Amino acid sequence: MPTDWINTDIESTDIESNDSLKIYDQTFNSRLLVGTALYPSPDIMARAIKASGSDMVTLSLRRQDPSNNQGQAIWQHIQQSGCALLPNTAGCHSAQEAVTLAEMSREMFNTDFIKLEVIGDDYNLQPDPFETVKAAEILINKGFKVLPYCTDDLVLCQRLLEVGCQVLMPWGSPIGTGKGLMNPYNLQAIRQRFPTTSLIIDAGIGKPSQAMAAMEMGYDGILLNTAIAKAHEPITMAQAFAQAVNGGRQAYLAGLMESRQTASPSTPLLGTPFWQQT
Amino acid sequence: MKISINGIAYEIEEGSSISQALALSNTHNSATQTELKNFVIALNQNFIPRNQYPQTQLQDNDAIELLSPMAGG
Repeated sequence: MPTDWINTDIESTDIESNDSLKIYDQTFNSRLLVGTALYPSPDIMARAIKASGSDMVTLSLRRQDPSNNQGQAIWQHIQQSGCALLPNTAGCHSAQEAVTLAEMSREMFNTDFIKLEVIGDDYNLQPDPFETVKAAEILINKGFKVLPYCTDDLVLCQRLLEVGCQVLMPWGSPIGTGKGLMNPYNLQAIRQRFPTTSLIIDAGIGKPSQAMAAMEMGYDGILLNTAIAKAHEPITMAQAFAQAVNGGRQAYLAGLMESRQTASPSTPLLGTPFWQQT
Repeated sequence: MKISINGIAYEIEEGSSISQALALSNTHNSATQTELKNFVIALNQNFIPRNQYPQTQLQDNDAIELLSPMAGG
């Protein structure tokens, strides 16, 4: 039995063990980031986070509601998870609102990380590119580590990098739609144009296969919430996404074959039995 | 003078601070009786750090937003 096959396996394992997601000056073992909203209960949320293997979770700040104690329960579970926190600015429609909420989040959660989200249209929750760039620049000057939720527009991504963002989070498709990678051409262009930037697909992922496709494309991570939280079995779905993200990453590192227009036999032609020959 | 906390109107003495407003709201709303570390504040859409609550004086029609951790995606 040829032993070089075994050696190849060992080399692959080494590549994977050194492979981590870089977010500014920190590295994370998991390439799957998960949201904490929409779960059937705080307990299921906590178990789904654990099943996902995620090292970083998103959360938000909202007005205190005396009739709803679930916020405190969720917060306690999140603290106990040991995950890094990525507060968001969900619901903001202007740079000023986002900056204020980011500053409040930094005091509350004691982190410089902020998922910058400035919505420009309530119909599809599309990010406002102009206000997002404006807010990103202000926040970076204030010492934040900004992870901007943005569209798959190459020039917008360029502008966000120019103001100092080190991570970009283009959408796959609008938040909560589960439509997957709406525009693979644009996403591929962003990947190719910015080969060393950490790129995370944020929003729109509905199936593990869609997350895997993004990872095969060379994206560095996936951020999702609804697809796990709204599954019939969120904990099992969290595991499925973890496996898909890992599988997609391994496939990307392994190097995908070039697709071809014409068929090519995989079985060697040399030694084909006589009845195949014409 | 009038102020609001999370959209609810309150009457408060002229020259009151954020700390005094929080104490006032405590008498009306048990949700704000949590420890200071469990919420953060914006005044008229501007962030106010915790250490500035005692010395930040309120004006008529000021709007305080009192926010706490919540689930998010």
